[in-house]
Amino acid sequence: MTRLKKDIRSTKTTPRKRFLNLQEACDSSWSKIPTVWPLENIIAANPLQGFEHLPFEEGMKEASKLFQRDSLPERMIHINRETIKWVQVLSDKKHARIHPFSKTDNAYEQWLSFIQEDPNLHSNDSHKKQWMESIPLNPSEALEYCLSYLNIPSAKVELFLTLMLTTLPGWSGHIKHQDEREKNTPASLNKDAYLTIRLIIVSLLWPDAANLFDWYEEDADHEKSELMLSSIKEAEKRHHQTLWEKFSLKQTKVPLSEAQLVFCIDVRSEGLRRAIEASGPYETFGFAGFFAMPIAIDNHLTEKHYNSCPVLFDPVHHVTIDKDPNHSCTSVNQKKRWRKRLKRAYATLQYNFATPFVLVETLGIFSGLWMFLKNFFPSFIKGLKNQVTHSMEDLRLEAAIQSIPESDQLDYARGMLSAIGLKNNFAPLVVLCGHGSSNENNAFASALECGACGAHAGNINAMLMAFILNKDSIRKGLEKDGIRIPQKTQFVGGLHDTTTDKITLYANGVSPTRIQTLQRDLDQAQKLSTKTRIKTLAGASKKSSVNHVVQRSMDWSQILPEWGLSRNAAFIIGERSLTQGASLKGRAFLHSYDWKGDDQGSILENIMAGPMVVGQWINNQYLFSTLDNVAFGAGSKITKNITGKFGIMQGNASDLMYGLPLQSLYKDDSSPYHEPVRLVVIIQSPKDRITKILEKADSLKALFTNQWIFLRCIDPEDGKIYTLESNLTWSPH
Amino acid sequence: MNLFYFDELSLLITGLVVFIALNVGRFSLIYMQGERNYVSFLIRLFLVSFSIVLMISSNHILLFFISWMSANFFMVKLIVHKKEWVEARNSGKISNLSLWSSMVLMGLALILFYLESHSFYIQNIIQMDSLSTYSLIGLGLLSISALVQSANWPFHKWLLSSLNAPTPVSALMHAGLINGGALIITRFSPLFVQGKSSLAVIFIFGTITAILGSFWKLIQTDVKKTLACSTMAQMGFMLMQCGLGLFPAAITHIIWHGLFKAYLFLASGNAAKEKKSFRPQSFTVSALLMGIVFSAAGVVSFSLTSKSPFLPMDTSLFITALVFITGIQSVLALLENRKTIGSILAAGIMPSLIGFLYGYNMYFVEQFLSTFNIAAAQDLELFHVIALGLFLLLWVTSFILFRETSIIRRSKFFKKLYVKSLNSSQSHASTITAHHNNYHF
Repeated sequence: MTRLKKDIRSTKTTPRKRFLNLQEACDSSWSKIPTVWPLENIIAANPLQGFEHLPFEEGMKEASKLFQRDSLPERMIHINRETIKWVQVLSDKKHARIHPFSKTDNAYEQWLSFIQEDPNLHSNDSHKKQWMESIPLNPSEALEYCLSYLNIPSAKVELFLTLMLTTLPGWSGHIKHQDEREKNTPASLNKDAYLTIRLIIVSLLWPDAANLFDWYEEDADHEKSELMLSSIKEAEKRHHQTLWEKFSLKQTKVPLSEAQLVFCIDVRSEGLRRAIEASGPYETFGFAGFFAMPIAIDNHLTEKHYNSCPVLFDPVHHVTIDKDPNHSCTSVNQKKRWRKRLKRAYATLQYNFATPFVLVETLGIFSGLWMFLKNFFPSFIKGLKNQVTHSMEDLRLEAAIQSIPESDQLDYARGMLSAIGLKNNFAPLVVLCGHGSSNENNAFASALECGACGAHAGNINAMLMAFILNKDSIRKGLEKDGIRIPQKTQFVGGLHDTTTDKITLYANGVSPTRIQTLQRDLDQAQKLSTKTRIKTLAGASKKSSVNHVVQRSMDWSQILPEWGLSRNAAFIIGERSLTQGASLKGRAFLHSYDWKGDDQGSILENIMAGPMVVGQWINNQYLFSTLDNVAFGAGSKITKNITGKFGIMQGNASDLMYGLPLQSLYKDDSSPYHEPVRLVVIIQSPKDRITKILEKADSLKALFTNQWIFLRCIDPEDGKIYTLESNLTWSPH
Repeated sequence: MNLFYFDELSLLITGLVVFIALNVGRFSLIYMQGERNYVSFLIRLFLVSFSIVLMISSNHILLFFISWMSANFFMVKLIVHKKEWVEARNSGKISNLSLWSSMVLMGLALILFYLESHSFYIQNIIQMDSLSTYSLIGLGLLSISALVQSANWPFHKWLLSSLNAPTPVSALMHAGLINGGALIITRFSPLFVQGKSSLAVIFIFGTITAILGSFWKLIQTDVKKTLACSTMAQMGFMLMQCGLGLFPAAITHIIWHGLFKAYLFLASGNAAKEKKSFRPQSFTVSALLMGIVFSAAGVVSFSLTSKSPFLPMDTSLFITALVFITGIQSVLALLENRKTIGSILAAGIMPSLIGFLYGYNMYFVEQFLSTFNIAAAQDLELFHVIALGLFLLLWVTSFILFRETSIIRRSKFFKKLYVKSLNSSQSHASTITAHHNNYHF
């Protein structure tokens, strides 16, 4: 009854249609906010993604004015504190034992009823309490209601809303992700409701908030963006000079190889690929680590459900991963079930009244012992953990791929092989190698996993594709497209651990003798590759590089398990021979591409629209996180505080931090390890083919013409290098 | 009289501090790599630990006081590790204000004790009998000092505002310095046993703190504040134990809680991965009956290993009652899903296991401290019983409170309570980094 009354009153008092195009203003404000991904899948995003339609320098200036401000009016800081307090609660679904809001009712309406009791907002002032009661229950109406209460002129509504979001960018970005990327219920806070909540708090705490416009205009100097720009230019000058020394433009003939290995395009593959090629007669390829499989994985072994494909795709198939129940895994399952049961009992005792006191005194001695072992005998702990982890052998792959129709399997297989130009000359063994990272106690762990698999390890995709390519029916289908896979060729899935450079092969059913030699050479390659890599890692002993990286991967105090994609600088699309043998120092994405087999340019178009764009996200994220680790990075790991299982705050409470942490980019507090350069994309293809693709796709074109990344072309028709100018013409390099 | 006095208490605490320092130090060696103040951080870590050891081993009140001050001084320096970060500096200011007030109170108390006993030596002071008014005032001041040091309500804000510190610092603090309150009281326990009113005051504040901390912890949404509220509750419980005269139990609590909390802080980077599967607590009558029976067995096992009576009629009853509740809760949790033979078996063993471990952990410490002769369980007073009743009531209420659809949860009272608790458990406003770019590494 009371609710009904409120509705009637609100429709009467709200001056409707006062703000034309309010929705447009909202949309435009939200477009400036970066998407902040949750910790479980930290996908790289350009923090300046809302400014990519502008030329790079201009975009930086605009963004700087919104995101890099040194100070904020005191009133606004107070408002932010209250917003953080409530948004923390509203966003939390998994941490707090008592979540005040019901999971079925509308979040915004519930919040309205709670703030009636919040003296921090109404200051026990009866007018304010009354005003609160008259807030419309519809968020958009409430938004208008607040805007008119705050006397925001309609011409400035868009700017005001933008400022409401950019003065608390991290939490805004989180809500944006939640609204756009997660399954939403009425109980989850959407973008409209968030913006409205923010404005209600502003109306209550700072009725003169229109003064914010003065603050926005007051210091319009572009010192920060200019500083950033000059360090970019300086680094790029260094980088562009050295880059071309690596290329050999002569065609070399590929020798027959014992095995072919397909790696993810990730820059971390480059060093290892080089080491493998040096360790024996092996040929390597680069392809996006999801191996062309647009799938969501429901992994019964780890009880995780996730999309294992680039975020550019919606997963088409849902794949269930499990083991044969009759196999030896029952004991592992049983152990896991018991562990889960005990954990739940533990949580019940820990989060309760009265029982935690007894709990800590019962478990204290074990916590102490566990802490001691973790500190001084990490390999012992690792061994214990392995006992309750399933090995990846004997998965029921056949059952898993049943959800993918045969014709789609064929399409994906054909797509992958044609893209990398592997259509004949198959070696007896072809390894499809996904990657993942092993580390402990690391909130940012998913940022080190495979981005193409939605920030998860890519071994399952690799195993599935290998299984598909071993099927006779698929091979027959491929023959129609001129892809002839010899009878004796076998495909094998694998996992490249990027922390240790160890490659695990899932070679079930392949004769051990064939695998042995390969495994031995891969171990050799691991030694070679880690030897170079540990030179850049602090605290590395010179003795055994493999031991060192393994230690690193197990150490729960390790703040830098590996460098991730730091120092990424180039994206090379072309044949391996372009840079074979040259050390690119783990700085280049390598995508295999055979220009001769792609007259229509459709393969290249896919590579540019997919992997290359992801490369740009990664590059721009590393770039800006390095240039300003406070505004566009997550800050230091040592004071981080995980909120709601999804985000990072600094210390007691703060705006949500986004981007990469300091330690992933800097050698110490002040010297960056990552070199802030924009990605140089190098494509081996006739230049007209590229021009045609760019003319079709405006957003792709804009990335180059606005100089967020650069494009070079190695034209095989005349063997020369060309640079794409901002007016879409080519000039000789 | 010597400057130092080494007894079982100082040995135990020294052992604990050395163990924690060793672990936190080893962790920081890698974790803090690349820090501008790497070396000074490690030195301060050592100095805090050393000061605590010095303090607990000192017999001279001046040495006691100075080492106490030095521990607090270096601790605050560690909290403000990132000096350029304004909010971290503010955390330091608030901690300083609290800890220095605590120091002043303690200083005054020690002066009063000196004037009354004409001795600088703690071992002489605690042999005072028939306490004068001044000594009683001294005892009162010392009690407040202990309440502040151990972040008991209403002096808890500094603890909830100290999380701008690097993670290893929190680990060290929650396992070390924060326990200071109980250490002071235990050191001067012979006096406290005579000044019963001080013990009553400590008990009442401890109870309030334990209840508030417990509830606040349940509504926190981030890992570190959850741990801080949990520590607050545990500190309340620790001082309750002191208030009950169960000094060895309080020392037991310091040790095992210290290890527990230090581990949880160091492992807090994993917090996002550890999915807690909370369910609305539900149970069947048969499960409850089993809980009562099994838990009674747990209490027997507790009384056997801790060498205490099955149903004590003094303040020890408090501990026994908590063991009983915990036993029932563990049975209900294990039988929540479905009752298989395996789970019933586990539920049958669990309370006894808890009772056994808790009893043994306690017996171990009490045995160690036996010559120290500080076990002084008191007669049960009405307010003790009321407090125990409150804990029982809250525990029973939790079954309704945790259910999202319950009537309580829909009531205005709950909303009021929730918002009040949410606001009270916030860190101090000046220590929240509400402007994104105010953060500084």
